[in-house]
Amino acid sequence: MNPDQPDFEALRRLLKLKRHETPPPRYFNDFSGQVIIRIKTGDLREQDDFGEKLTLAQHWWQRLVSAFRDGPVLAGASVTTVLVLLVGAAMYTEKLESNPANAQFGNQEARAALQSGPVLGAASPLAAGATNSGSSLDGSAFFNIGLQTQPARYQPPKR
Amino acid sequence: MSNPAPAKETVRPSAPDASQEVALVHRAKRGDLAAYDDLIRCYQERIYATIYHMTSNHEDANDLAQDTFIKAFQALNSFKGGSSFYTWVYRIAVNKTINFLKQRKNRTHLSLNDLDFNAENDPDLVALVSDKTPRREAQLAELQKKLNEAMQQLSEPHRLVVTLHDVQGLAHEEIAQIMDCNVGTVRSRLFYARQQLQATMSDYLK
Repeated sequence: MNPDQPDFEALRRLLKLKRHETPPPRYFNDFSGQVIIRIKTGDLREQDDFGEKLTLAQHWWQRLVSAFRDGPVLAGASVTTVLVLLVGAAMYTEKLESNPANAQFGNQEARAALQSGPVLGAASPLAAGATNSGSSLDGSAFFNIGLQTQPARYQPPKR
Repeated sequence: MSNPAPAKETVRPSAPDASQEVALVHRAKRGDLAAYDDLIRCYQERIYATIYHMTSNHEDANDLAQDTFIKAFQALNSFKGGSSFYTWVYRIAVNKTINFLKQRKNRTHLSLNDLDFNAENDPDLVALVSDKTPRREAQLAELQKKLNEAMQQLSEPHRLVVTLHDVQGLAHEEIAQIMDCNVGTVRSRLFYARQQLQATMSDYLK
């Protein structure tokens, strides 16, 4: 034994204790029989396949839950990240709505939608009021997108 | 470095010689379940013990040992005889166990087997607990629990090396084959694992 090396003799004696840990009496009597029965019935292949599929299905969220459970710091960091992203998204949306340059983009979508379908706006009381006042409603003035609209006559329903 | 533990102290049922094993494997490959039953009986105790010492749980060891032999039967045609059947089955058992332990991470539940009658009379163990007290059995049981808890604190490769060498008495070369690494790695892992165990169990080592 090298004097510089630790002496593991006491530990090795202690580890002998594990050799005395034995399964219940007669445990091995029918062990092989159980294996053979399972081979004959083929239940392991099914179980294995099912187990592997189950393992794959559960893999990502199990690892996520496990990671959160094992690391509270990671869980806290993840929650903080999600919150920051939510707040950022809300602020960005607000900024988009308040910026006129971005409104133009919204109008392009509105134009496409309006051109592709019936012009409901023309039949609205707002548009009709404009017609009744004698002025024609130019689509380009409305949303500033050059929208062609048909003048509509508005007659209040007779009672 | 110390030599492996004497084989007589380990659980070693009679194994077939090489030619008998080859014949049994050949028959099993053709679907002869009686031959495969013989192979299982030869190695069941060692495979079970390895898994048990790795998991410290009898029920898990039972399930994994059965699964190991069934998996081995299913994969028997891929066994080309490059190593002994015994080493090959050991590898399957070890891989299955390590995969299981990774999934079970940090959810250790001890389900320990009872100590056999000989434990109380083992001179090495008697020296570890007071031989003047009637509570020797209780002390051994406590020691068993502490030892298993300490084992569970080791990483899987380190626990495996201690199990195979210090508990089951396999040689470094055999362990290297089973773990698919070189002998130097086995030695260094064994040294580190023993250091860790010694530190954890220092209160119980005299």
